[in-house]
Amino acid sequence: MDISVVVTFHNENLLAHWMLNMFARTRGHAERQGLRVEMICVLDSANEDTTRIVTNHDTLRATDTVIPVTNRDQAVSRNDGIRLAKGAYIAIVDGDDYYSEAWLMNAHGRAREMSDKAIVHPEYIVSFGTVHSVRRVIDQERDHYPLASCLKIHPWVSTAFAPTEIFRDIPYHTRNTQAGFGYEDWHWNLEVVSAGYRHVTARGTALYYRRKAVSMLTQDTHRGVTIRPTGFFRRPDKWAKWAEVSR
Amino acid sequence: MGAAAWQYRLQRIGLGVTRGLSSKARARWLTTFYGAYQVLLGRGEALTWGDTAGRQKISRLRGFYRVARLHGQRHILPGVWRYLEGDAVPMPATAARGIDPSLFPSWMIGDLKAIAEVEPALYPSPDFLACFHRWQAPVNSAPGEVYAALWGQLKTSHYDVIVMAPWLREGGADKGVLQYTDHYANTFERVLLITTRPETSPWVTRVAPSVEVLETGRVLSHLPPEDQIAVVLRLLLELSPALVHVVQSDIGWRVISGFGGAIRANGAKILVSSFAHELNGSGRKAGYAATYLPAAREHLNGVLTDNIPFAHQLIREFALRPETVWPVHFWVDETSRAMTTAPTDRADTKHVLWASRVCLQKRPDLLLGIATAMPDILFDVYGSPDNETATLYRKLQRLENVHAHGIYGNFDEIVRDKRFDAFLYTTDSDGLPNVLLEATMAGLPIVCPTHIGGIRDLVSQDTGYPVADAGCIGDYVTALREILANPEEARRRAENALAVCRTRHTKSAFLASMGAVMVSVGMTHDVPRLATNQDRRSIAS
Repeated sequence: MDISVVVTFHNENLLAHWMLNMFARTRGHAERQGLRVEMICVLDSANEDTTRIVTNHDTLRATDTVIPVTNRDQAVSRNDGIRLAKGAYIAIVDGDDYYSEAWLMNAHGRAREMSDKAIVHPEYIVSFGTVHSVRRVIDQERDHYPLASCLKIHPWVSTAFAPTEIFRDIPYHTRNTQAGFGYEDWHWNLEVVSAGYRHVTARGTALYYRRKAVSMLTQDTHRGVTIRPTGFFRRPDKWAKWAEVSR
Repeated sequence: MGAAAWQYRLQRIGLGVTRGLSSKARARWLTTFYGAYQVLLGRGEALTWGDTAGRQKISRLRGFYRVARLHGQRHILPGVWRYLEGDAVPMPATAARGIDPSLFPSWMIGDLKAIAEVEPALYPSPDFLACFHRWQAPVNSAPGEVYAALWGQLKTSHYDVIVMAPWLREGGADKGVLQYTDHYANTFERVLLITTRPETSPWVTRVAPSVEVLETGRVLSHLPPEDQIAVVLRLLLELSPALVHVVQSDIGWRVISGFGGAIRANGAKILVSSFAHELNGSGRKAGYAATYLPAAREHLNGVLTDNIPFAHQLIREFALRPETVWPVHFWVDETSRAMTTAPTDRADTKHVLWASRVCLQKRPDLLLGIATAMPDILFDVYGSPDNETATLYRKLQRLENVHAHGIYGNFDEIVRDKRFDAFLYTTDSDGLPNVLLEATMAGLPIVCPTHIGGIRDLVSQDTGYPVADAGCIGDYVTALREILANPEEARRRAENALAVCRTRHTKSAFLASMGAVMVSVGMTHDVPRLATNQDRRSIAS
């Protein structure tokens, strides 16, 4: 297996149906280029409608996996999916967003191009819903982005593609907003930087990101949570080196 | 000023560097700029035209623009806008008309058309695409750079105890900070004292050598408040102390109030010290406890006071669990000059001592009234005025029976060569002021209001001369006359007060109390409970 797509669902209902419909296009594109792709759908405390839609969806195959869990935690659920992955690479996606047709294919190519030393994100984030914006994602091979900014700003995104061993070596950390910790994607993206990996983008791809009035991000912001301690902040002397643009 | 220079200065403000601006210009631009800057760069949420919050934020931005226009620098606004841009800021309506082809490459249009097959609302029609604006990840390096600079000053990446205080300078609370840090230095291996105000801390030299001091105030003061919190919070999380103790540090309180849960979840115990309520200009309770305890209380392992009355008050007002509130009395040097300045039966002029910071809280207006009402008594006044009390101080200086000596180094120096008949203390709000302990150790009978803060912890009818109405000049005059008329009784009360100090305000009693606190909050430092067991029982009941 070349690529395991780990997708988490909660209460997406119809949006889960649309997402899986669209992802079939992305998977088909990759498979036409010779890549083998499996889907691992993690139903985290999903409601009945979402569970029914995902479990019975036409695009899922016998080789794909659907696992119900009751974590109520995106990070832990992703780790559950990662544990089951048989692919050499893992793509982390969300159950209510859309992705470019070329996302898996181009991300795979970019990861190989980077000798598997990078986390690949879509080149653009097209936000729709409560916000309409087009954002080009920072590619550390092309853009100089001062890592000092990461104290307050998360310049990357949860959608990530990387070799499976990176996800297993550096698992996502539980959110635990009750205890004041959230932003698990921000934390993970900094953890991988401090482990020596780069954040790059797959040209010609986008995440079509559904912005809701109340999202986990806005909840985190309003709850006053912060990201967990990370080695990234214990080595500020390395920030300049980690931010170097190699070409 | 040219446009380039204007923009340069604006950007420097944004980066936290305001050198070269007059204080007036700085204040004006900080007000307008930070309003926009914080909204744009300090939040992860998006601005939208539609909701009320978005309209308010954009209204603030327009205010910023108006200021720019007034200064005739409108032509550089696009550059400033780009500088501020970064969060999901909608372009002005006029700029959003039409489709920016560079926003939507052909493959993206193809994606959207395909997506519209399942979700038709996303069809890339001109009207739909015209809703979009370009966004880029903001760059806001200043707080991260400050964090990195502070981190670089540290000798290690982990501390057992972090004490946060505003500064270390001449003052009672500062002596308390020194006593806390001395205790921690003797108990734990790695202790860090973080000072958070931009002023200098001359008493840093008095900190135990093994305690590291990180002075953050100056660099933090260049950041907006929200960024200051981000920096301090990150330090507290990454340094993973076993104990955080906040003593009068505003940033410390704000971090604990907002993010105490994360600090606790990271393995730290949290203590705060609070000594009294302060009163604002309208007489309303203010200060750290009133401002921050409601939000911070759920995250605290303990609250330390320096007096029993305020401990009771905190429990009553904030529903704190009694076992988490600790009166830890500060200690005074037992070898100080006790009784050497005891009142005498001298027939010559009587001397009253007043020593404190000359600030409004300490009611120099009352001192002025008392001195005016007692022209036959000499008042020796120690302490320097601040901006708010300069005029009052000059009036004091003009009185023939007032000797205004200015700032003093320590109390012992005052009483070393002079004899005083009484110590007068005036105040609006206080804990248990250190200067009262020092006056007691010097053998002086004390006249002061006792229904304020924790003063009645020490001064009662048996140990001093309480004034019932803190604002009544006549009551102070009566009490002082009573001392002068009956020095034997004054001496008796002063000796009683001294006995209280020698029992309760000793180093051993302080260490015992701190040891009990450490055991209570789960720090593995077992010190037998000694002198304060009675206090504990009093609080528990």
